[in-house]
Amino acid sequence: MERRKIRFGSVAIFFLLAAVLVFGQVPGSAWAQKRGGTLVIGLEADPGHFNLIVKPGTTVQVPAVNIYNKLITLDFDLNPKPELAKSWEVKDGGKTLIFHLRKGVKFHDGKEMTSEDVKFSLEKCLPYNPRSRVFWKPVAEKVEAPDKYTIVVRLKKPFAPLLTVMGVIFGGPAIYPKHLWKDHVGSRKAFLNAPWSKKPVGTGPFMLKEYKKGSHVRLVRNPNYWNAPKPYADELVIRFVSDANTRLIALEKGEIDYLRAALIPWDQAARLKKNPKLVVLDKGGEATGQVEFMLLNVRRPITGNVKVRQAIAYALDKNQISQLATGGTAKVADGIMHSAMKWAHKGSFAQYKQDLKMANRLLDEAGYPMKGGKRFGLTLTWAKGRGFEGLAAEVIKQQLKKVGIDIKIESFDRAATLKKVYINHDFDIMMQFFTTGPDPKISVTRVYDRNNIGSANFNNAPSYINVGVQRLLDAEWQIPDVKKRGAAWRQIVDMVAADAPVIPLFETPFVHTHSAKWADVVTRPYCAYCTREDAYQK
Amino acid sequence: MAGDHPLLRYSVRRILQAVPLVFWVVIINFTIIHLAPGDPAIYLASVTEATPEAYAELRIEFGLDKPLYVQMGIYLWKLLHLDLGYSTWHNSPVLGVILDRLPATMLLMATAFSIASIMGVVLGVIASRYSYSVGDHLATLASLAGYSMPIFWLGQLLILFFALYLDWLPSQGMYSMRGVEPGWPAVLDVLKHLLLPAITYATYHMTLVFRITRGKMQETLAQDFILTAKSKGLNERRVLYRHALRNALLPVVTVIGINFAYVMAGSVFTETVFGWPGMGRLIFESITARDYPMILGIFLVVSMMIVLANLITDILYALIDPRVAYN
Amino acid sequence: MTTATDQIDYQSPQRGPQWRAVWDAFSQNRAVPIAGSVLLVLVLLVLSAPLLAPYDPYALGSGSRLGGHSFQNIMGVDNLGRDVFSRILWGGRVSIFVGFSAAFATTVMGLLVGTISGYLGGWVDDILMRFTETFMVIPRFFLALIIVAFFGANIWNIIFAISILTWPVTARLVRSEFLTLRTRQFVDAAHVIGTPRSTIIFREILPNAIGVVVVNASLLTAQAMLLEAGLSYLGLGDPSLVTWGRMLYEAQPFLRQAWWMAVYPGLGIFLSVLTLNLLGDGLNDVLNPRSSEIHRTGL
Repeated sequence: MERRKIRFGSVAIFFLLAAVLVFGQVPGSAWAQKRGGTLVIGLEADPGHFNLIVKPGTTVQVPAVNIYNKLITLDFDLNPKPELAKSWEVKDGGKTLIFHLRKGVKFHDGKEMTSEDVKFSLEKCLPYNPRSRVFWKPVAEKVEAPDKYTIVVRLKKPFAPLLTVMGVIFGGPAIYPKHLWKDHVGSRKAFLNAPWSKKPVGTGPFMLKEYKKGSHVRLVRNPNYWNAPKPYADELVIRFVSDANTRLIALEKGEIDYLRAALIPWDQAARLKKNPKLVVLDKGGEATGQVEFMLLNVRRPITGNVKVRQAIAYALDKNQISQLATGGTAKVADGIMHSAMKWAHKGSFAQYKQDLKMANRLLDEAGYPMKGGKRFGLTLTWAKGRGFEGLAAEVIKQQLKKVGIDIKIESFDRAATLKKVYINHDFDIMMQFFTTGPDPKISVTRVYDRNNIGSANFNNAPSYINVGVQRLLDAEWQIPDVKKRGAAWRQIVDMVAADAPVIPLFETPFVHTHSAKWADVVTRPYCAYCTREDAYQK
Repeated sequence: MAGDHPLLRYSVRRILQAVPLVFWVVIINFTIIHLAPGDPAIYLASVTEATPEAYAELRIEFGLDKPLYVQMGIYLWKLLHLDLGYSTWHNSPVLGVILDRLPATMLLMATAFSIASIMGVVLGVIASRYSYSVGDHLATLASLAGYSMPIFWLGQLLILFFALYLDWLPSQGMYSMRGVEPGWPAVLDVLKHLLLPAITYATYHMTLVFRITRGKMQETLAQDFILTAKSKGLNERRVLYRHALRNALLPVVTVIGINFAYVMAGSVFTETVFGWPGMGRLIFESITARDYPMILGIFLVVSMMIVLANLITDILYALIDPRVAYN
Repeated sequence: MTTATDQIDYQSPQRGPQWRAVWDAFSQNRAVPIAGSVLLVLVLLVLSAPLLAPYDPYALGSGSRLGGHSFQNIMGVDNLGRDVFSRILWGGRVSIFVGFSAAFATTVMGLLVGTISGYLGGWVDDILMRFTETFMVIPRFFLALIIVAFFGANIWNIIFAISILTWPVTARLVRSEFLTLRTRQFVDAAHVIGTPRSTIIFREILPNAIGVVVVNASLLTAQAMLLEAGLSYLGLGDPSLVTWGRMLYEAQPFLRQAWWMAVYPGLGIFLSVLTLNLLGDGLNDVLNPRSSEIHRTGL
């Protein structure tokens, strides 16, 4: 007997070792991930509060996603997965959604989370969320709570992207405790001034312990977390470091354990990959899917000429742009959304392979002959803050010089640039970094929709109008079948590419970087803002 | 030495004189800031969501929908009630945020000025004692180099060498983030974080103090009463420290007091390079985020600090050198 | 708010250069010729950038990205494949231009306000000094940041912002110089014999105050160059021009991979500022022999 046991043990160890060798890490069994450690996350600014309801900015999300839960979450292929809702049904051709909630989930203050809280969060909070209300208000009809653990959402018309956007924190609702918030509803101000703006209480893996203004936020493990043994880390410290270089140095020195891709200078990623103390990832941005674009103002006489726009597209060498502006880390983009959204993506802009002859011919045809090496001048605008946009602008300037387009680069702070471009439409070409996920209805449509030319950030700044595109944009989101929806989007991108009111340049690399001492720091497709409940110390 | 009464009266008068100055400062800043294209609402609408609805809501929330003179009136009225307003970016009262950040800057400044004054005076005295020696020339050249160097550049070099290459000191922030026990370990922790930024910050002022001390000392040492004292057989070191140093202290006070407006500028760079959570970074962050109430609040507080610094300088002057009367 | 410190700092009687004596002093002072010639060489180098620069400073394919020193690229290549040496030459032009223009603007403004205030005295002086004091109390560096950040980071805004930052000190300096000179005997004498005011200002007082102004201007140039570098470091440089400050800013992420991107522009700033400071000191010794230390302000 004794001998058998030993042999069994050594066989087990052998397999385990083999698994370690093959997979590079202990396979995902629960006991491999031990608890302990403080995960330090770098953030670019002080969030000031944790109010996801009315002011869900990036810096607010990074801490808050660890304090709250949503009904559902997404896997890396953007399929909805259970979170507070353990299952759900879609009925009436997409007009009714029924969520079955987990039982025994407790808020940080010990009260149980029930369908009342979910109903409250959807009905009272969501309409004040400046992100979610954009899609929520036009389609939501009512929310019912037939029993303690069931929630029924009824829509006015089918809304295909709903589950996807509910799965990300910046689109979907977090679940707030009704017993705390119920006296603070009804206006932005009421929400903002509630004590729970700064002392958030949720069901999430971590609880707020300390908020030192201008320095850091400290979160500690929620001992009653419903998804035990998670979270593995004892503490999360989110540290505010405003300077990009100093942030990077802190990461390399091990003072910070994790920086999201947006905070990694992309042209440094190659160097970071060589550092054995760091892990540079290539996943975790599929749901945000950011793409760098040039926006061309269709209202301006020169850029209003489709031949000029096409010529510009032909004159660019996007490989060189990516190479120089991002150190080759970013993939060249040829579609109007990130290629991670496979169901709808099509690289129609690939037709514009660099072709200076073609560019010159188009410009001649457009009526701008070359005179002394120059045809005309255009202004290229970018908002200060993203270094790679400035570098890309330099490269574009040099590339367009070759076909006689004289680019003048201008750059203002973010507020001034946004005002100039999106409110006043006063620009020729604008460098713009767009989020295109998690669903194109939410974040792609806005740029090409003729009803969105008005005066708000990130609208249809080029003032692009195409009847064919418009018809598809108006219809696609009501198509429940993903394949058919995808086909509609591929048609849209074909038409946009022909008109070239925008030119996609490159896609965000998902170079989230964390200390090699940690694993599973990034487990969601929106991991700039994802929960760190899975992260554990090796 | 002046009695308490005239000093007090003098101080009160000076502060009262400064009130209209500070008032004008507020007006000028308010106007310049609000004339700039773009506003806090558009910035915030870009980090949350981008609908005209959201933009309009934010403009109303911040009172930006009213005419400029009304906005200014409201601001001044609030100011009269000691209300600096509500930060658009931090979502907290402005004064609270400033008071949270002020101690960090104060600590950094106090440390840096102590280093600068002590080292500057000591080196200056030594250099003047050995005037025109090789060492003196080297020190003079080094001091010139010290203030010919961009402060952020010096900071980066120090980080590269001491934090990255030698790995002796932390590069960032004011506290270790992995938890340090309270008490002495915590104090030590802050000191470790303080060293590099303080040296960076101090270097410029140290070289300034050094040069002024050296100059004044040379001048003083050449004066008759020192020569007399020396000829009377007084200990040379005693003469140096008792007589000459006293005279040389004045310029040191000047350097810090008069330059106070610039002192704050140094904090922007030092705090940015070292991620020090103080006022310098706060102003830069607030500018980026277009946090108007915050910017105005910082201007007001710093302006008052400058007035105060000037006043203290003058009082110290009078105390050190009784020949200077209050006028 | 006439501070006691002004009196100490600015009181330097018996000035007024006798040109012969000035020349003698120059020939004995070693710092001025050395610093002066280094500065001259620097200025000549950057002025002849069109002749000397082997590449277009903005052209991308001038060498392999982040490449080191080579025969083709004697100071290496930057992150966009641009030749660092060419950028140093062209960038130096802008940096030195910003330095001199800002110093010039400041000096003109300071002279104007200081002269009027110092000579006329009375209520004009009162008003102008109140105005100056308001500016002394504003955290001027923050104001400069705001002007450049909010109104656009182009080179003229930067020069304007730097001038805003520095003129009050110059104005006060000139004024106190005038106050001292106005009471001097030769001015009184001119008054008595009925010389017009403008003649007194331009013929009698200004030439005597010029020493202080020149010294101040050379230090201001140094300061302005540091400030431009500082603004650029904070990302507030002119996006369409290369300057040494901008090169430093661009080099920050590559400090450990391509030190040449940072060392040469840093050296450029350092050398120019150092020589300007040496020059200022030397000139001060020569032109204002009795004043032990000049009034310095800076970052």
